[in-house]
Amino acid sequence: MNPEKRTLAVSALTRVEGEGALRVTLTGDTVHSAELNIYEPPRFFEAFLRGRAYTEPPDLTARVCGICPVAYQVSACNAIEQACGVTIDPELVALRRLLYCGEWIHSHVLHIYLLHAPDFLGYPDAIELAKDRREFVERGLTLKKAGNRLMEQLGGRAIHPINVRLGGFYSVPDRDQLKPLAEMLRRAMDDALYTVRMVAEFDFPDTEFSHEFLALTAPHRYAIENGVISRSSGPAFAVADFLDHVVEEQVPHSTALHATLDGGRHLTGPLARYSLNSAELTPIARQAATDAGLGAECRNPFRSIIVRAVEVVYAIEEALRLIADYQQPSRPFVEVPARAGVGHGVSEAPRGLLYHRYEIGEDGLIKAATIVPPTSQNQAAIEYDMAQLVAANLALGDAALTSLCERSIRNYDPCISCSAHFLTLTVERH
Amino acid sequence: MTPDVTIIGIGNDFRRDDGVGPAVAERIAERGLPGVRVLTGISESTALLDAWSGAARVVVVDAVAGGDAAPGRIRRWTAADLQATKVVSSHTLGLTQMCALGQALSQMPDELVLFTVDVVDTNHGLGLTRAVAAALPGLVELILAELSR
Repeated sequence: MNPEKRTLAVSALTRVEGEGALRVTLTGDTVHSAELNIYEPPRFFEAFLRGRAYTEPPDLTARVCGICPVAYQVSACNAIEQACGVTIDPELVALRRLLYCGEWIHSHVLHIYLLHAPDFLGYPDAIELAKDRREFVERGLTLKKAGNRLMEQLGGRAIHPINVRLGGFYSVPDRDQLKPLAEMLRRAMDDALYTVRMVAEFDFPDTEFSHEFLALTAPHRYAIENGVISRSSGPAFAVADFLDHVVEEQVPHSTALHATLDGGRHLTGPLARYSLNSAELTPIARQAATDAGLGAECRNPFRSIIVRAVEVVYAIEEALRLIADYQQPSRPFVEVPARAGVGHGVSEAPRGLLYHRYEIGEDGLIKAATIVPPTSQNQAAIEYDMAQLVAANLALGDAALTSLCERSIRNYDPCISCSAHFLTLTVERH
Repeated sequence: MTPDVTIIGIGNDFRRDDGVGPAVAERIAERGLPGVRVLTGISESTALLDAWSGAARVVVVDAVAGGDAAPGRIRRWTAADLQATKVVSSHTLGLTQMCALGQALSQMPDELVLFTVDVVDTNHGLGLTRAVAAALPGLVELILAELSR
């Protein structure tokens, strides 16, 4: 061990959800490696799901993540419904999309106000920010609550919604029940537009990356609850071929698997989604994006906070449209009889493309499950960016460098693991 | 019995001992006490603020992991202790941070009491370890005593 090794424990990195560590190794001016060590729950759930009834993954995988349970429920439903050869009614798909809008609002606003904004405003965390700028944080929490209310109304409760099932919902609201939500969302729109204006004024380091983007797209709308796989340069491919293109492999420094796209680094999440879907933004969201200085695509990871804010505007606008068009479904769910086979499901979790694959046996039990979350797809790109960032900023002292790495990691909003501990950042200088 | 008490069991029962909070809360819920609201399944920190805001009395149960953890040890804290002491929760919530944020935003309950249980195993899996499971009945009694205070 080099005697000059310095270890920097970074409590602020706890603002990234979960547990993990970043280890950067360098000699002189050469960065040897940047390793993000993450501990990932899907591996546990893949084993846990084997031998369970084919109806159980939506409920069980919803508990992988406290921030994005709907994403796990919807990708699981999409996969199993496909395996069973069932197409659900369009009204139920619309309701799923409405529920998902709630999760986007909740997750993005949480990240913008409590995790990311303090970096730009020069505060160590949201607590110090709240002490100085209470109204700003309160406004964020009020906006977030609109997403929570949407999830409560449709999902049964905000965290780990219990009203979702294969084929649809246990119960569906009537039009009158959605009216108060529309009123609340109209008020939330003001807060959402305020948020875009606020974050657009932050100072952003002038940097861009070149990773390939991977996200869902959908005709005439911004992809959320389903879609086809699209990418920024290579050829598109079918959802069923996902694992042929996005290949996960074990790396020594992490219990999580690293994924590559046809052998290269790729990025999924808000920047990828925005860059591949911006033409489908609704009018208000598009205007907000333009006013905030966003073009058709965005490759600056620091500006992801603006993209999240625009996606919140979109989710509110889309939720209002879905409520205005809402007709109570004639049945709350479509029967999904078990069928032996394999199904693939995708959806756009707040953090990016979430893929599920299930193999169902003749007995209706799960024979195999595969979950590829956004963070494991982004890991190679995050590590690459961290290595570049450190190499370009070697003149900084450890504290400043650490702070820069923290900020940069938060740009990607990695869902490192739910229910977990602390992150530490170690810079080894040889 | 004072009405309007909220019991919040924090933790993830897919993470072994981290499930002690929900396990205790469910045991309290089984008693069906009047005026007592029991919440589990909170795994996102700001949901705590919503649960606290406007509440009279809140009792939180959480797992604690850390260097000097003595598996099964039960400790009682108040909001003032949380400010002064770095309680290391095994859960991602950052309970102390939420407490500080709640104070900054005046979203604290009138009275907040926290019971922690030192845990040993928070890896993925089901079921509490023996030492933590053994602490359960005593902790339920302590909370019931707290409620009748």
